[in-house]
Amino acid sequence: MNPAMKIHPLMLAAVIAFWGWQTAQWLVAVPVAALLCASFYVSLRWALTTAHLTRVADFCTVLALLLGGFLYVTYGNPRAIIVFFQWLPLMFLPVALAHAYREAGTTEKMNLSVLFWSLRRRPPRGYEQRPVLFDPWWPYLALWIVAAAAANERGFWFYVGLVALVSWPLVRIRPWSYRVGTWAVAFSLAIALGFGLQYALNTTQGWLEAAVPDWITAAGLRTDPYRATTDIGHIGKLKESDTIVLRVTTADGRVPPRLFHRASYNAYFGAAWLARGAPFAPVQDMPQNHWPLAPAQAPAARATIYDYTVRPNPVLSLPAGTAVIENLRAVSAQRNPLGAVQIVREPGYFSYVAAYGGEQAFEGAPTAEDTRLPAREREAFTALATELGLNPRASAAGVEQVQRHFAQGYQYSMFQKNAPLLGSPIVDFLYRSKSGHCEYFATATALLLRAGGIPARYATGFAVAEKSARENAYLVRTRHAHAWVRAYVNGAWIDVDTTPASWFAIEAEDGNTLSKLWSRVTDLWSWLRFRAAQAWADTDERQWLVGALVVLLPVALWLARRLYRSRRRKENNKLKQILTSYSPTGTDSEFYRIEQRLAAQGCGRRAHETTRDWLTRLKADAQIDTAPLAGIADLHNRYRFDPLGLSDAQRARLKESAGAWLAGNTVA
Amino acid sequence: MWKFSHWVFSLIAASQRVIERRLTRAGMLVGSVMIGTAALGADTNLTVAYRIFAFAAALLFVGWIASLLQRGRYTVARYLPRVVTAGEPFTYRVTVNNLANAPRDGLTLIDDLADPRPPLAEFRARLRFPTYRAWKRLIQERKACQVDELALPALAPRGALDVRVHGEALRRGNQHFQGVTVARADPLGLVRALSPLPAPANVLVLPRRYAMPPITLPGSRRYQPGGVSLAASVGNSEEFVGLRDYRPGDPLQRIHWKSYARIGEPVVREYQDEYFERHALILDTFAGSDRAVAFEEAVSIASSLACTVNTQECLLDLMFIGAESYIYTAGRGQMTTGSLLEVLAAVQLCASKPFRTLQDAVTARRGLLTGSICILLAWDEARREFIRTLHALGVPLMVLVVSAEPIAEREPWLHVIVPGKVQEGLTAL
Repeated sequence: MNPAMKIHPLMLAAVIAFWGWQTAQWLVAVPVAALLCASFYVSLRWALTTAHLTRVADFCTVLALLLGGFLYVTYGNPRAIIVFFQWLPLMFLPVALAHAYREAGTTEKMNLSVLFWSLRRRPPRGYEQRPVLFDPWWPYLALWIVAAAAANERGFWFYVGLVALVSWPLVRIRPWSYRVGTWAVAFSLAIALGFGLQYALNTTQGWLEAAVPDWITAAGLRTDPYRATTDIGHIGKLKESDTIVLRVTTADGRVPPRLFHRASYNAYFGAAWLARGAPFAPVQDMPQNHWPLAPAQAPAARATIYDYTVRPNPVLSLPAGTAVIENLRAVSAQRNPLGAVQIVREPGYFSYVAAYGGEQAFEGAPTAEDTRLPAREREAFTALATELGLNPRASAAGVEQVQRHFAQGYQYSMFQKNAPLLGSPIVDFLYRSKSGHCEYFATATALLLRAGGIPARYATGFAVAEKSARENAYLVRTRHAHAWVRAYVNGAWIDVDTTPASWFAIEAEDGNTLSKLWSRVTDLWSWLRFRAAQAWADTDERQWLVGALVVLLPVALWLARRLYRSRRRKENNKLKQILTSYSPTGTDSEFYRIEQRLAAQGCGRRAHETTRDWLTRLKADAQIDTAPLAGIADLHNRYRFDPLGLSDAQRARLKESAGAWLAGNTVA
Repeated sequence: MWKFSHWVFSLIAASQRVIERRLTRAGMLVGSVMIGTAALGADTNLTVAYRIFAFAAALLFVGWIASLLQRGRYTVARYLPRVVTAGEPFTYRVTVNNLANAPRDGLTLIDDLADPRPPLAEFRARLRFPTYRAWKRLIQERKACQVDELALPALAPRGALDVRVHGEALRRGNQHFQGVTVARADPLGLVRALSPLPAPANVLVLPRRYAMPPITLPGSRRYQPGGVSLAASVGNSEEFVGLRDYRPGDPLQRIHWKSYARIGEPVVREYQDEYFERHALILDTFAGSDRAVAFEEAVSIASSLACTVNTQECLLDLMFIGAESYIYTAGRGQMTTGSLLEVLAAVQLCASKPFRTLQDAVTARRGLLTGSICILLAWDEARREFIRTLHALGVPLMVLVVSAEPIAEREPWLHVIVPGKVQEGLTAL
């Protein structure tokens, strides 16, 4: 291998430390880095073949699949994908460790078939597949860096760290025939270009999300408290889905409020509503995860909301008059004067209890924005307000008058056939088409009330009306997303919904039989996931990591023991084979009995002595006549060690002469 | 569907080729990371993977621009072998000259082999269903050689260096080499600037050969009319040494019918008397593409036999049917064994003619043959009939059937060789 392409252990440590820094998982990063880097310095090795590595990789794959499934059920996408990627290098750590500590050493290349099942398949007929060998360290380092990105640390330092980590290997592989200056210019250019590109990507996404309706960008799952881009003026049919986004239960089985508010907006421009002059202020949390919104008062009722967010920092869905949010686990919460409450937390499932029904709401008093009319629509709405006789001093009557007006001659429709003929789509709706979806009704109502001098805001949220017997809860789907008006009447903000009540049924009827059947399947799946998430959602990542370790450690120990024992067994088998293949002859020689007899007399043969030396010693020391023994010993040695052995006659002579000697030399 | 899938597969293969040639290993890793982070970082608010994507894209972009700004000035001389053997590695020498006045490093030598992508007609004819796996097999089958790219040492200004390039002959046939490309990495070491140099050449890949046990060829010496010079001629020659009157016992085949007609008395052709062994190596080429593997093994066995027979002492006729009947004779001053192997390197399956054609070609030469080795691809009725005919004509035979299907009630002279276990089968002969 080219020395420049060899991984340096410090580089490995730096990348894992970078991951630890970004994810704040130092407790994991440090031991992992130490374990991997130690393999470069210690000589401890195991005899692991490609087949062993393949098994370890399969184990890791199964582990990743199980964990992926668990994450998907618990957190849903996209958080499951993000968390999965964040921990992916850890899931494949066993392969990395096995590779690092195999006998071939850390510089050995790995067969790609270890990781890819497709390469293990028998190649097509007549196709010779050569093993694809690669150095796994570089892709593994890349995986750690990508995993670090999943932590979503938005600071400037991520880019700095990334550039520093990448520059190291790039310096090492640099072709030296270029001038250093050329390399430096090229690399600096890449840094600058990369920085510009990442900034442009992020900005473009922000711009796109603001420019297209929320229906498209987030399928009703996300609420931007600053801006609501409506579908007013959209030609054609609205596409909506049956995805369940909220579940609402009440303690005593009472019917929850019909409208759950997410955000209100006070300025209308084109087809968008904006929250102008409505800065967010933090909400002080109380013990037991209580978040008070209005001054202390006794709430009349409570509703538990099981929410799901794909984005971090969601906006809560709350009934009108919510005074306290209880049992809400969040890093922090903030609210604006328009009634939106946004919390800081990770995406996924979460729940909270809204205590509502108090006398005081927390929305701010009307401002000039709440009565402003856009120039384009001012004339048309003022004319209608005058016609209806709206008066700011009789706001309650005015609201009733407006509700009556929209109840007569207007109809709910999810389909707009033609482009507006009267210029502004909302004016066209008001005077000509008189047909539209909730955004038309809410916008027209808000502007009409404003034209009559009554402060009004455009409110968005969900309509809660579908009860599920299976779940014993109210289900809120994406298509239940709704818009209405909050009007300031007699010193309080009240919900005014002028959309014909038939809208709920019309949307429920939308879709063919097949899509409805499919909806039932997805409902069941959603419910199963919800129940699983409820069971697991209270555990955070650290806890399940510990849980996974608790489960995996015995498995790993068991595998290590099995490996160790199989090696021992293999060695034992080898030894046994050697022993069984060696079958000594002559072990039944009668000379051994003579040896025993003399040993009993204290003249035993020493361990290092040959029979000849022994007999010489006996003759000298013990004054024993060894002359007959010499012949027997000679026969014994031939019987024992001569490959040709003894003839039958010689064998008989050995037996006979030994027997004679033993008979004549009984123990004294 | 066929056109579209051919277009898609061709596009994938072409893209793969461009990526493999244009990017260094490090560049490929950066490219993979770019693709991975493009998927993970699609929503720039959820992760910061889009920053990795942006940096990776910028690195590759700068590398690509830098590679475009380079101008390679090299000359290359390549010394290829004329023939190589399938299944065997081979090496050849390449001399690379740097014409620039500056040193060059980060260089790679890439041999440009002929495009192995099958044309639509072949793609359609060879496959039952267009799958990518089958497409890869087709590409593999069309590649006779594989030459790995070679990292070159640094080149001094106006310097030259000699390197040995290693290749592997994958299967028999002709391999066209289009040229050589000298690739140089950009300053970042990610993208290569390519300097393609035309150097067309051909290498003939001879069939794979197996180790053969010493075999005793069937038959004995036989009178060869016309001697060695005529023995070398292909087919039935009308040339003769002289004419003489017919004597009872002369074979009817040797009657010169024109003279007989002119004189009214039978006249026969007279040849110089020569006696030596003449063996036929009969190769069965009649099978569909589903038996292509067995056919390749049969060709390998034929090559192994051709090399084993000592052609200094006897003649060896290689007989097979292609577009027409082919007979090539080796030995005793005629073609060499190497030439036979070259013929075998190009032999193809014959789908347009019946098996009977081979039988007719062999029986026409029955008078000359002292023995025959038949390499068959199946043991069906047509082939049984062929062997029965040869037996009836008294031609000593050795019959090898290359087939994975078991043959019940086998005669002792019939040897079955299973594709994939050819060496074992040949050792047991």
